[in-house]
Amino acid sequence: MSAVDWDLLADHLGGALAGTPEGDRVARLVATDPAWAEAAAQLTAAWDAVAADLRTVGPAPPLPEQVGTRLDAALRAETAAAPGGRAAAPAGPPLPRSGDDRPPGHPDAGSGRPGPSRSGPGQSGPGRPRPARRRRRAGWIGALAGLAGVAAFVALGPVEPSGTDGSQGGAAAPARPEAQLSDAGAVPDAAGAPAPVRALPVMTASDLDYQPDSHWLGAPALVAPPLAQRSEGSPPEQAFSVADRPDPPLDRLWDDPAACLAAVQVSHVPQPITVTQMDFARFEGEPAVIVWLTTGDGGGWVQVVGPDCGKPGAGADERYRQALD
Amino acid sequence: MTGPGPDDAGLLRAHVAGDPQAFGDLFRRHRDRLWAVALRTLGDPEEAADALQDAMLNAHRAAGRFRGDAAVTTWLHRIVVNACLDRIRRRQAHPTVPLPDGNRSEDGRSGHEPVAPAADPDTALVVRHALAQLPPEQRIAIVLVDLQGYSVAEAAAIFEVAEGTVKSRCARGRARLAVLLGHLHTGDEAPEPTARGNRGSGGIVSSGSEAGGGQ
Repeated sequence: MSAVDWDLLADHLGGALAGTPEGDRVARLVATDPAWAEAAAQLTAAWDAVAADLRTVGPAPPLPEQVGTRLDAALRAETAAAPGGRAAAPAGPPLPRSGDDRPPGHPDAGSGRPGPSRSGPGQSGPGRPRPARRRRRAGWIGALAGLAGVAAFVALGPVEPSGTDGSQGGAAAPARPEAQLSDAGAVPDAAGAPAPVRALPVMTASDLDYQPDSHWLGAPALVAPPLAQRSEGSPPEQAFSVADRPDPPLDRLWDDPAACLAAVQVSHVPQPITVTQMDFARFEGEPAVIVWLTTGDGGGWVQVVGPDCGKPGAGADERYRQALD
Repeated sequence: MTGPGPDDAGLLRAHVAGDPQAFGDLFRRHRDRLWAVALRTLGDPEEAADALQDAMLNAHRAAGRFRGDAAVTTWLHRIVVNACLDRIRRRQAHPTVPLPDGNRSEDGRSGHEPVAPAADPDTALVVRHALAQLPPEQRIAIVLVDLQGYSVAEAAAIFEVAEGTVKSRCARGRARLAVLLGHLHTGDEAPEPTARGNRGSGGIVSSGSEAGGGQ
């Protein structure tokens, strides 16, 4: 008598092994081995009982009205941002994979293991660009329009060493990023002068909890729409509220991101970077700033920095980074 | 115009061509069924709503890459299933039940969670809780085939796997449920008074069992 392999027996009785040598082997065991015969009888009876139990579950309740409303609002916002599904970002990625891409016919041992691109931090697939503008809740564009994104947009001013643009807004605009670079113990590139951080980012305070395999890392979850669009047809009430500013400890960076941006720049030397957005949020549960940037060679990155970003000795306080595109 | 209107593929094409209403019309046609799949898979309405929204936006953006190699509803279900799997794996909160032959689940633990408080007479709740203990692919296979009534062929198309794989997932999932619900004793699971005592030894869970007794 051989020990009963219940998984195999289940596969056989469930028809998954039909026509295979393994199926024949199990059929022989059931026919000739009392332990297997008994197990087969028990399993069959057990399945009948499970079927009866499953019937008690009944049909799912219908889609709740508030969920329907929320979906409609999310779709309206999405349609406004990307008619026909074509967002401003480059051509989209493959659909999120479920890990179901096993060889056909391979019986699943119930491992539930994620696909290779989701095996852990830093391994979320460097070549997996994501669609732009993923949003977790409806209506955030409307919230942004009146709040943080635009306000910061105006206040920051370009991060240029010589201040050629001239529109230095408040304390947020650094006058001398090189000084901050050297304060942070920067390692200059071969030419001796670290390239400046160019352009100014949209700043949002979503408090979203990003994960290493989060879709939202591919492109900012919240994007302030162009000024021209904001006035017409803003989505209705938001299911979530977007903060005006982040709570401590990220408020320090919100008020003065210059040193942090300089440290981020250092981490990409010798490429000059353009920071497009900073979302003051969380990463794996901890307060963090998600930074989206492009490098001079056309590369794209998302980089996660902690609250100590830009502090002397802390560098960028980097928690995670991922290449985009 | 009094015709039957565009079919699913027509709406999807219209959406890709820039029609601002088409995707909404398409999604509204199917979203109750998609909601049911998400809710039965994830258990929690908030999670299901999140997953459904993620899936909807995914589909909205990915429509241009739909090749027509499956029915549009299959494609939509696939996206919802993937959104649910994403959520489940991100959470990975529940220890799984040991396989009936004593092999350990992928997290190495053999914890055997009680199926429900002893006093809970609601079989449906108990069953749904047991469903939540299954590994994700088995759970979704059972949701699609046993709860939502899709055929094995339809489920295979949604998962993009062979029919044999679906049969295996359903068979093993039902076996696990049988252990969790006390209908099957393989001799390998840890003694669990809640799961076994309420259901009787190998008895069928029904209103006549002692589980429905006083609280």
